Amino acid sequence: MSAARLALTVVVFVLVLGLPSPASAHDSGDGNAFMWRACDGRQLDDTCAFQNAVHDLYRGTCQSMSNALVCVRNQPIERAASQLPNRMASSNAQSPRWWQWLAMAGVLAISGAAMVVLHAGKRQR
Amino acid sequence: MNMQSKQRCLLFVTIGALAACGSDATDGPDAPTDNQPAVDPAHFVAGGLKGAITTTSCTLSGGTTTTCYKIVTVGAPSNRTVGPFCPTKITDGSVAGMWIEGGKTYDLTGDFIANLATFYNDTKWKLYDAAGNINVTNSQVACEAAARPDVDPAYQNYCVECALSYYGGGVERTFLIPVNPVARKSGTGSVGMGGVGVAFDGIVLDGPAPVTAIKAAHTIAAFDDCGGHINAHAGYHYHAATGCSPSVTAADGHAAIIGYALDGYGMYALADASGAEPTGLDNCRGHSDGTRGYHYHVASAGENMFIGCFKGEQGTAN
Repeated sequence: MSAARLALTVVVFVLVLGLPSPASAHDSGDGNAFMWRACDGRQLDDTCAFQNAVHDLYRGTCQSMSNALVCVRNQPIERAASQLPNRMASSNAQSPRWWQWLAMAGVLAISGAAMVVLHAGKRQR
Repeated sequence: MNMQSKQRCLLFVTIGALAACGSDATDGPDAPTDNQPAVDPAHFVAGGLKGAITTTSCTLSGGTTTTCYKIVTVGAPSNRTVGPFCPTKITDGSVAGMWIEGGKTYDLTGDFIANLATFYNDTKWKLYDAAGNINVTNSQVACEAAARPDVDPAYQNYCVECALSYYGGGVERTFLIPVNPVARKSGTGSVGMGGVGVAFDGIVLDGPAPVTAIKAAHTIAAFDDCGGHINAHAGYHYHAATGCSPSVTAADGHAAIIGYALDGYGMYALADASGAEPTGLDNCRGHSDGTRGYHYHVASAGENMFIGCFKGEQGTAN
């Protein structure tokens, strides 16, 4: 695998990991509670995502309702039929912003390194 | 792919990453505009009001003193009877009310009640007796004991419904809403217990509440088909926009306005005339356009909420 292809693969992998994992209605069976659980461990205005019972994907941000955080959708519902295969619906204890910043830093570092390697290879030829 | 193409590709990814870093959900093209329309009291249906809408001096949540509309409502829609809520027998095939769960709405039928254990994957759900009669709260004492956050143990496994007759036909509410919305200088206002706004039939649009305790008691606080139900404090109130309350359509195909938020910004239906959802909504579920200024779009009925927060300084709902 060339350096560029390896770098791009790592970039895509890091970006996917950096996205917030959607909470799922199937995790607990207690229905709309997943909208609240989607903000567990998150802070006001953090991004969040959850899936309904038929895997429609809802993306939004955590907002305070009655002194608790709930995931408020602010993007059109992504219907299950048109969405990509479900990402791992793990618990979401990590802050998405923390992950996103880490992912972006990784992207920049890897991209920069790959460009240096490619440039060096070009000069050798 | 030659070397230069690879470098361009990597540069593209890098720029894309930088652009993603720069976007912040709290920013965006959603700031309230200077040409913000005022609240239009003519949108409210007279039958839902205690009297004429008046103006009064008020102090908003951010400390701004301004003029508010004082809207006193009777607490019951004038164009229909609220309910029904709970079915009475598990063999009852007709639709009583509605239940909201897992991002969807469900017809509340006898069959739905009979299958709750399967629905929730929890054998403790059993809201009916051996004869198939569904446990439905049938008095003010019962409904209030079953609807409180710490459900009375005597009313576990109940379908909970209250009647407006317990509260004199409706719980009167008074809303103070700024005539001209006042944008917050920074941040947003959180949704509290007093509701997020008022529909044009005078019914309060309420925010969601955590229902873990209620679910743990295996009770269902049934909604009617209009997404409303009754409690002692708020009276009849909406948790979902289902198209029951009056609305004012827009000539340009934009979603219809269904009410006003407590900060005076318009609350519009989810979808426009073609059925499309808006894009570019901010954290509060609002955005701006040249005709309506800043305004909100309510969430879908299955989400059991209307808006996420307040972009302007709120008035009050009492």
